[in-house]
Amino acid sequence: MALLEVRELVLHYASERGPVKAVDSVSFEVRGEGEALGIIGETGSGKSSLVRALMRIPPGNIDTYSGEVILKGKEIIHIPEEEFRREIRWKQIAVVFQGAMNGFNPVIRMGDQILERMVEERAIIPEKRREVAVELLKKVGLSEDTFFRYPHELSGGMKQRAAIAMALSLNPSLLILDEPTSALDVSIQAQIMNVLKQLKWDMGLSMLFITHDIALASDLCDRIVVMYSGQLREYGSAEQVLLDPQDPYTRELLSSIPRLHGKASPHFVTGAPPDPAEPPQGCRFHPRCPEKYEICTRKDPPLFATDDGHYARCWLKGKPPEKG
Amino acid sequence: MKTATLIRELWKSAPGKLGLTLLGLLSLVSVYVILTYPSDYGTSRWGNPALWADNPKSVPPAWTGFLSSVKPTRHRIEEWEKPSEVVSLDFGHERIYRMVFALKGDEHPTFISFSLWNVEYHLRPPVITAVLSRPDGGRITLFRQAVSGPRTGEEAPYSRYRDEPLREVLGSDQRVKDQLTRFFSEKYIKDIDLDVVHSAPVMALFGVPGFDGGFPVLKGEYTLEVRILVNDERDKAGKVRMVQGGSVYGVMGTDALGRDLAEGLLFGLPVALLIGIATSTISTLLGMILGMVSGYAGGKTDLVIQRAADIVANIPVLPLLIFLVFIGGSKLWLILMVLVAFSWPGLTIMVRSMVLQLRTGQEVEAAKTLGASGARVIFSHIFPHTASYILAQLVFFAPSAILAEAGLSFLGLGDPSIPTWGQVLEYGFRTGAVFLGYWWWVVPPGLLIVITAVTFMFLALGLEPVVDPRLRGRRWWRY
Amino acid sequence: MSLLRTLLVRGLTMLGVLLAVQILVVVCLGATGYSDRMLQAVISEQLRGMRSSLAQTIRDPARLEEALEAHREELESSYGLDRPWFARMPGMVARVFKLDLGEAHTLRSSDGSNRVADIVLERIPATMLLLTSAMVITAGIGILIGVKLATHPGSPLDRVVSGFSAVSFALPTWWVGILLILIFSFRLGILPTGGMYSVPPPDGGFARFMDLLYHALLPIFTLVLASLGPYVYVIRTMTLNIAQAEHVTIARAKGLSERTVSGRHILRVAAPPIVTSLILGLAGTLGGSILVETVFNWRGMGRLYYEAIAGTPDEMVIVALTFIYTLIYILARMVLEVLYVILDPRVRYG
Ligand SMILES: Nc1ncnc2c1ncn2[C@@H]1O[C@H](COP(=O)(O)OP(=O)(O)OP(=O)(O)O)[C@@H](O)[C@H]1O
Ligand code: SF4
Ligand SMILES: [Mg+2]
Repeated sequence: MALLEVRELVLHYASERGPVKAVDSVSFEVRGEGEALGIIGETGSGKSSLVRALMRIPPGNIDTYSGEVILKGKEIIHIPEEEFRREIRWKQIAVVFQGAMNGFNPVIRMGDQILERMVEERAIIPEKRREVAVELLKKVGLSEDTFFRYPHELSGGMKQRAAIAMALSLNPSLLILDEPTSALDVSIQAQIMNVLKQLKWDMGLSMLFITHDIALASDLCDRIVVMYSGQLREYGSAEQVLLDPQDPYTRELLSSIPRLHGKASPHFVTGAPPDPAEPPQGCRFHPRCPEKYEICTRKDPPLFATDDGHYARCWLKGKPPEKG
Repeated sequence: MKTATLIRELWKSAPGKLGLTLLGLLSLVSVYVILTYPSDYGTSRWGNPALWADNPKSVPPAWTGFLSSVKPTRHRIEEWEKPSEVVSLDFGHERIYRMVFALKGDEHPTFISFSLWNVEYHLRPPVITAVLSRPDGGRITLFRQAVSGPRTGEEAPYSRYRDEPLREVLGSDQRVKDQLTRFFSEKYIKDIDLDVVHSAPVMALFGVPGFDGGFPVLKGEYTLEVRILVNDERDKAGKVRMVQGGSVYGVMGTDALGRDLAEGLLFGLPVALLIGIATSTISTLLGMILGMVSGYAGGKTDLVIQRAADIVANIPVLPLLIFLVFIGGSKLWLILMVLVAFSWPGLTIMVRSMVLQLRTGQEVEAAKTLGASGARVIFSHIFPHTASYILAQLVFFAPSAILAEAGLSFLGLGDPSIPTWGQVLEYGFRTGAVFLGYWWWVVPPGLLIVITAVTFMFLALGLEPVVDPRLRGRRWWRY
Repeated sequence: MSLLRTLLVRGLTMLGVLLAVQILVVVCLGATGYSDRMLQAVISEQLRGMRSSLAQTIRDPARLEEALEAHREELESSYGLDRPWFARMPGMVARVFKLDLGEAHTLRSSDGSNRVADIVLERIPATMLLLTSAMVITAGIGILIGVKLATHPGSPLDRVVSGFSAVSFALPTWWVGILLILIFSFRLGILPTGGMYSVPPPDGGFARFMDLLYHALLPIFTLVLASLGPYVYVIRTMTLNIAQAEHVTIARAKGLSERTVSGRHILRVAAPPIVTSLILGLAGTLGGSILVETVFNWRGMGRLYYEAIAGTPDEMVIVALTFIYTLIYILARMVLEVLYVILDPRVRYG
């Protein structure tokens, strides 16, 4: 049984220009036992929206919010909010949000924020707070005195670590990391990645690792999901997706990675990402796709299985229906 | 941002729309006032009590009659150049000016008066008489007096009441009261409350003795005659005016001097706009320039300006405002200047911090590398970024200036040569209008202050999302 | 340490404000010749009294004039009129700073004392009663309503109340007072039009106190009504801004109860800016109280200030009162700023 199974998850925002299809029927699973699933996508592809949908914290302007999320065999999207809050949030699924380092309460000490949920639940006796916190801080490579600091006294990298420590406080089964390194400089980025690898290898923590940086994903993840315009584009093991990409978009994305020793200069995916309020007709990638052909502008391709556990959303990979 | 886009953006929000509409309306009325009122309105009209003598004092607006079951009495003024009738007598002529009027209301006229201009005579001084005929047959002589005789050395024709008319408010004469008492006791055979006759003779003049000792209005047709008895054919009067004081007046009523409040309040509008706009423009300019200089120059200049801003921003404004205007004299420009002197620091501090941010930014660095001068950098690279904040401040200052001037005026420190709403309120408050319940005198000026100030408030509210993109999607102002 | 520094800097600024105001007042009084004229008038008044009493004993008119002249010189030097204003007035500022307010020239306290301290002191409690109760009520209600609105942004109630509070930015406090008198005193006849006690005042301390409260009702209501709107608006906007901050989303994601989220993560964080808005509103309330005291004939400092300026001009009282107004203002600001520093760690160690 997979740890987390996501089925046709939909989150559309209401806007003046009609629904914004930020998450448009996304399905995947995280197998558990230390598996890291990478979610890769350009900016605006709906990665953070996916996190919001999973954590049931959508903004006020929802248009559609549906689908199923099954955690350890139990559906969790339709259970009562209070139950979800008590049983799932942080206990089962914890998140390091995008820009988490700006997400601390400025007037509360770090230690109190990290342990806040435990303290609220009286899951910890006051005398043990220090001990528990120090242990958490050590896991992410922070010193003891961070406990007494206020957020503005810490550097960005330290706050990012603290955010991870905070996410670990209740020993969740799944840790979601939304671009945990994107605002940091390279050396700190590497340190954070090391912390994550340790968590994965030493503690067997399962992760959903969200990034727009394929290199990072390949470093950490066992399997990879490529998102594009709210949709799942390609889905498979890291080797399958990275070494044998089946979808033209993934291929473009991969060729845009700068290679240290390669002679080809990196090129970016040409063209702008689609407007999620008015995605293109047919295949959403077709305006930028070098391989598009006639049917692509008319019909949105489904996910085709190209290999064992490897799927791609491209008409080139499957048989178009006889009549369009 | 271009003005057109700005206005379009403003128009999109409900408060912005309201603000723009109100501002347009107020400006239109202001233009009308500026075009039609004399420039020295304050001294030549509003501050000249003689002009208002023939108006009823402290009476509510005419339209209140529609709202109340008691029918008010209208104000009536009639003027004659020629007599209505000339009667020849053995020893001369009597020139008779006659005002016939029907009393239909339930309220007594507030007064009754006549004025006379330009009496000319050749031999004997004319005798002037005023007589009121009541519907019940009563004839009361209200006034009888001979024009003053020739002075030594004066040559005929003798001219009287040339510059200043003979103006008589009728009824308070002791002889009138005697006549009334006699008439009532003969005609109505009743005990008459002499106190009322004495304290409010106009009531008696237009009433009949009632059961409770009062004098309810006697409805019907009255005739007021002003007779000028002359003994020479050539003797004549230039103009005669008779006034029956109404119990209501005009669109907005009158104050204790009989001034038409509608007129005065209308004049207050361009003044209020001027106060708001002038103060906010000058103080915004000052604040902006000081802020830019402070942020751009740095060093000692910066330190001095910032210290000064810190201090001025911490001064309790109103006590000092009162003090300064009291010492400096109640002049509008002084009030404006003092307001300006206290309102720059906020903007200065803000502009400075923005300049500091921009100064080290790429755009300015690039401009400097290209050899742009300091002034050029400020105006082409820094000013545009701060412009929208400055605009918001500009709009935001205006209502506080209007309110501050009104407050000062209310304390009696307003500029007497330029009547403002605050001054109208002050006079009303000082003469007890509030405690007598003269709402038409104290409510409208305050309401006008609020409307004008609120116009700017709405504009500021509408500007907020334009100026601060973070506020943009916040839906509660937009519909 | 740096907390102390922050407060020290603020304290020095406040002292600068106090000094600047005093200098401004003194220069205005002196440079316009106002001070000289005022003192001359006082002296002439005293001489007139003296003349009639001296005339009883000194018969010879020439000697009388002589004696009066001597008195005049004596008075002029005692008032410092023999020196120019800039020599005379610094001493006055210095004395005021030492809280030695001197003696009034024309005004007297209710028991006839001419010491400015006496005159002012008997007025301060009346003003304080108005100011503090209005401030406390406004802040309390403002926070309640503002926070309530911020939790339901965009609701019809929110729109209406926000609109109204925006409008009330434009309300002149004193006019609100006049309206309230018209409504509650003139039309309904349930509250007094002004003054502090009934005539004659009731016997007994408690009855007198209740009478005072009864009279204070409308002025306080006026001050609250006029300043509530802006408070509500500002507090709502600030709370809303904080409620949309990232850390609140995270607090929710952590599975904290809604109580903890709104208490610890919204209100607690909104507290410093709310305190700032209280600081900024203070000037308005203080200024408003002068006008409101005039409207309600409330014998407090505002009324006294007005009397000392427009009634029987009294230099000493004017100087003393601008000093005291500034002092009250900056003291209250200091208190609020200390509060701010305590509430916001970023400033505390900044
Ligand atoms: N509350 C909202 N209302 C309307 N549209 C929204 C809202 N939040 C996000 N969007 C839109 O939804 C789309 C997906 O946003 P999302 O934040 O999920 O992207 P992302 O993949 O996380 O991008 P990034 O890499 O920049 O973080 C974007 O086009 C964004 O503009
Ligand atoms: S479906 Fe067509 S347009 Fe879309 S990726 Fe495949 S080839 Fe390109
Ligand atoms: Mg994102």
